[in-house]
Amino acid sequence: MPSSFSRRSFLSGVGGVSLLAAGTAVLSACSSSTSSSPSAAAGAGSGPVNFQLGWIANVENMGLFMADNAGYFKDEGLDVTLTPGGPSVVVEPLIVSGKALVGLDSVDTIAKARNEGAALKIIAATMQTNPTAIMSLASKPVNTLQDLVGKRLGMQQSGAEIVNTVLKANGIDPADVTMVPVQFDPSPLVAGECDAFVSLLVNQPIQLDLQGVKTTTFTLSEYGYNVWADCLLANDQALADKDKREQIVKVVRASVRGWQDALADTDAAAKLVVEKYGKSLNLDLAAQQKTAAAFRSVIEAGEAKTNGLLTMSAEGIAANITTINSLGVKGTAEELFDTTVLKDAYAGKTHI
Amino acid sequence: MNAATRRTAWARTALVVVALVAVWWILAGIFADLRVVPTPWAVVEAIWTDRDVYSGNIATTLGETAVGFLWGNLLAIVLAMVFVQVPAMERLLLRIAVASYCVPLVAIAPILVIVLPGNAPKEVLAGLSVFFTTLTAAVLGLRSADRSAIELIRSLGGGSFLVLRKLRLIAALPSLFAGLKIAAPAALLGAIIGEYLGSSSGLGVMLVQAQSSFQVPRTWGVALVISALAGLGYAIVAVIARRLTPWAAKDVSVSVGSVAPRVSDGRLRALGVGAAGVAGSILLVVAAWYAVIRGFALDPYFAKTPADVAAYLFAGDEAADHRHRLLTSLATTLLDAGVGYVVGMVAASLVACVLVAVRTVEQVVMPLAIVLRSIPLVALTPLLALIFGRGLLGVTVIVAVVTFFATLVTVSEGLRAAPALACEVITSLGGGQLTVTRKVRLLYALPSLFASARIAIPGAIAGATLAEWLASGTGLGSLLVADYTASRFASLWSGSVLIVLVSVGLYAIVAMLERLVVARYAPQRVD
Repeated sequence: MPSSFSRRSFLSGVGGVSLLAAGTAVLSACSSSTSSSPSAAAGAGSGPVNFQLGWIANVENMGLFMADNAGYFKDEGLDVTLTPGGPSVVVEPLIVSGKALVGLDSVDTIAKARNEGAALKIIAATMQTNPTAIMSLASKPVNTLQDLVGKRLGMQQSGAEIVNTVLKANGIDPADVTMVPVQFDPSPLVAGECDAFVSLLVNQPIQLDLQGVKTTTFTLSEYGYNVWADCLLANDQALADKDKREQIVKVVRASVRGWQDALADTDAAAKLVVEKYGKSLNLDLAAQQKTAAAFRSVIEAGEAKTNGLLTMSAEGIAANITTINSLGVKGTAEELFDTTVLKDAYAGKTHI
Repeated sequence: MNAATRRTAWARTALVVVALVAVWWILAGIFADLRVVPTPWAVVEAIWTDRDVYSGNIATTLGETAVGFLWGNLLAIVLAMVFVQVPAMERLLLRIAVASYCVPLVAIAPILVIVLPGNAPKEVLAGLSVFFTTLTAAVLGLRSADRSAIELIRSLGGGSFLVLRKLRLIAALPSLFAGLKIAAPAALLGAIIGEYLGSSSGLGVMLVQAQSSFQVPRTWGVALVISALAGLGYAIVAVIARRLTPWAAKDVSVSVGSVAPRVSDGRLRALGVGAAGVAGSILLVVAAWYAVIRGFALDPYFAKTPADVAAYLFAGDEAADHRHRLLTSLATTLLDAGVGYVVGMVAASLVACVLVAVRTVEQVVMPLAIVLRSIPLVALTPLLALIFGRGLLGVTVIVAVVTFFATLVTVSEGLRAAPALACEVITSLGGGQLTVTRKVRLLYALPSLFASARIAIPGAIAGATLAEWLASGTGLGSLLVADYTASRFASLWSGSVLIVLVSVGLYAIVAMLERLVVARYAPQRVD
C-alpha cells in the first residue's frame, strides 16, 4: 500500500511525546509492553510505563532522555521504556484509548480533539513560546507576515488551517499567498520551489545554517499564534483514577527534573542523545548541541522561568484560550486544563 | 548461456551502471545550485560515514519486511487457492481484498497502532503491501492451467482437488513468481512506511532524520541502500523462479482467463448471484468493522462505526454540506487517479513490450523501476515535484510511479507466457521481435494485461491520494490528512469509505470488461 501520511502535529512541531502505558490499557488482551523487566517498586502509582515519543530520537526530547539516564523515573518507582516516534505517530487516539498514559501535542490540536469527543486534558506545558516560524533564504528574505503576499509558502497540509487563520487575523487574504504542500524536508525552499517555509525556529534554520544555507526567520507567535507546544496530555479517566493519577504525577515530576538537568547543560544533554538514545541515527553532535541550546529559549521562557519548567500559570492559560478562540477553536480553561498534577509534582516549590 | 555470452552480459551491465552514474554526475552538476542532487561521490562518502549504523538499521527493517512478506504472501496464496476451488468465496471476499489495497492509511493507522503490540503494525503494513498483488498473481496463475489437461483429468473422474494438485499449482508458478517479484520491493516499502509510525531504528527512521535535517547526501545514501535491498529481494525471487520454473516462457501451454467465471446458467441467476456476492461482502465488512471497534473497545472519538459514517453523510442539517465537501474532492481525486492510471498503464505496457522484444533493455529499466517502487514517495516527491511541478503533470507522474512497477512485471510475464511455437512461426516467416509481440504475445498477454489493470486501479487511487497530500494539496488525499490533523474522524472515515467504494466499483467494471474482451478474443480461455 503506497501510502503514508503527515507528521501529525507540525505546529506542535517537535511532535508529541505520548507515554505509552502498556499495563493500563483497556484492551489488555492485545496491548503489550515492550518493557521486559517487572516494576521497580510496589505501591500505588508504580509499575511499568512505556514512553512513546512523538518524533525520532533527537534533542527535542532531551529532557526525557536525561530523566531516563539519570534514573529519575526509577526513583519514582516507575519502570519506563522510551520508545521514539515518527512522522506518522498518532497522539490523541493513543491517549484516549488508554494505550498511552501521557502524550505531547499543542494546545490547539488538543482542543480540536476534545471538541470532537476526545476526553483529554492538558497537564503541563513544555514549550512556553510557540516555535512555529516562517523561514526564508537570507538572499531572498521574507521578513514579516505582510511580506508573504504574492509569495509561495511551503507548508504541511496539516498546518494550512492555522496559517490561513493567522493570515486572516492579520488582515491578509489567504488567497494572496500561494500554498505549496511540503513535508518536513526543507529542500523545496533551498531549491527555490517556494519563497518561504513553515518550520520550527529551533530546528530547520539551524540545520540549514550548518549546511551552509543562511536563512531569515520570524515566528507566528509575533502574529497572534502563541499557543503552548509539546503540552503533556492525559485522558480524563486516568486523571480520575487514583493510582493512574499518581503515576501521571510521577511522570511529570521526573520529566521536570530531566528538563531541569537538560537546560542546565544543553551540551551534555545533546551528547547523551547523540551517544545513547539516537545512536542508530549517527546524529551530528554540533547540530544537536546548537538545537539543544535553542530549545532553552522556548522552554525556559515566560513564567516558566520563575514558576518552574513545564508550569502553566492562570494568565498563560487564559492567553492560550483567547488565542485558540480567536482561531475559531472552541474551548475553556476548565475543560482543557488540569493544573493540579503540576501542583502535586512541584509541592509548593519552583524547582524539583 | 556459455561463458562468452555471460561475459558479454556482465560487460553490458557494467556499461549500463557506468552510464547511469555518468548521467547522475552530469545532473548533479546541472542542479548544483539547487542542492537537491548530490554527486555520486558525496553519496558514497555519506554511506561510508554511516557504515557503522547501517547494519542495525538494515536488520530492523529487513526483519519487519520478512515477517510481512511471509504472512502477506502466504495468506494471499492460500486465499487464491480457496478462490479457485470455491468461486463463491471469491465473489464474497475479493472486494475486501481490493479494499485492503486502497484504504487510506490515515484511517487505519491509529487503530493498527492501538490494537497491535510492538512491531506488529509495521509488519502488518508490509504484509498489506504485498497481499493484494500476490493474490491477483496467484489467482491468475492457478487459472492458467492447460484447459485440455484439466478436462482430461475431469473426464477420468478426477475432482477439483486433483486438478489443483496436478495441474494448477505447477501452472501457477510463473505468474506467482512474477507476483513475488513485485512483492519484494513492496514489502520493504511497507515496512519503511510503517516505521514512520514510530521506531527507534530502521532505514525509514534514518530517512526521516536525514530529510528533516537537510542532509541530502545521507538521504540519497539511505535511498540507495533501500533500493539495493529491494533489488536484491527481486533478484533472489528471480533466481529461485528460474530454478523452479525452467519451462517458463518456453512451453506451449495456453493461459486462460483470470477472473472468476461468470455463472453460466441464465442471465437472471447470474445477476442474483452477483447481487448476493455484493450484499455478502458488505455485510461481512460491516460485521468485521463493528467487531473490531466493540472487541477492542475503541473510543468513538476516533473509531467511527458504519452508523457514524451513515449519519455523517445522510443525517442532520449538515449532511448535504458534508457530502458536497467530500464529493467535490473525490471528483478531483478520480481525475488525478484516472489520468495517472492511463499514463502509468500505457507506459508500463509499452516498456514491457520493448523489454520482452529487446532483453538487454531490462538491465536498464528494472533497476530504475525498482528504485521508484522501493523509496517512499515522501522522500521522492521533493525531487519529482521540482522536475514535474505540483499540477496535474506532477500528480500524474507520482500515480504512474505507484502503478508502473506492478504493471511492468505482470505484463512482461504475460508477454513471455506466449507459446514459443507460435512465436517461432512468426520469426520463421521473417517477422521481427516486435511483430511477434504484436501478433502473438499481446493476445496471450490479455489475461495478464487485465490482471495488471485490476491491480493498477486501487494502486492509482491510493497513488492519487498520496500525490494530493504530498504534491498538489487538492482532492481527497489532501482533505483527509487535514481532517486527520484536526481530529475530524467522522469526515476522515466517510472519505475513506468513499475511496474504497469507488475503487471496488471501478475494479468490478474492469473485471466485466475483461470477461467481454477475453470472450471475444480468446473464447477458449474462459473456463
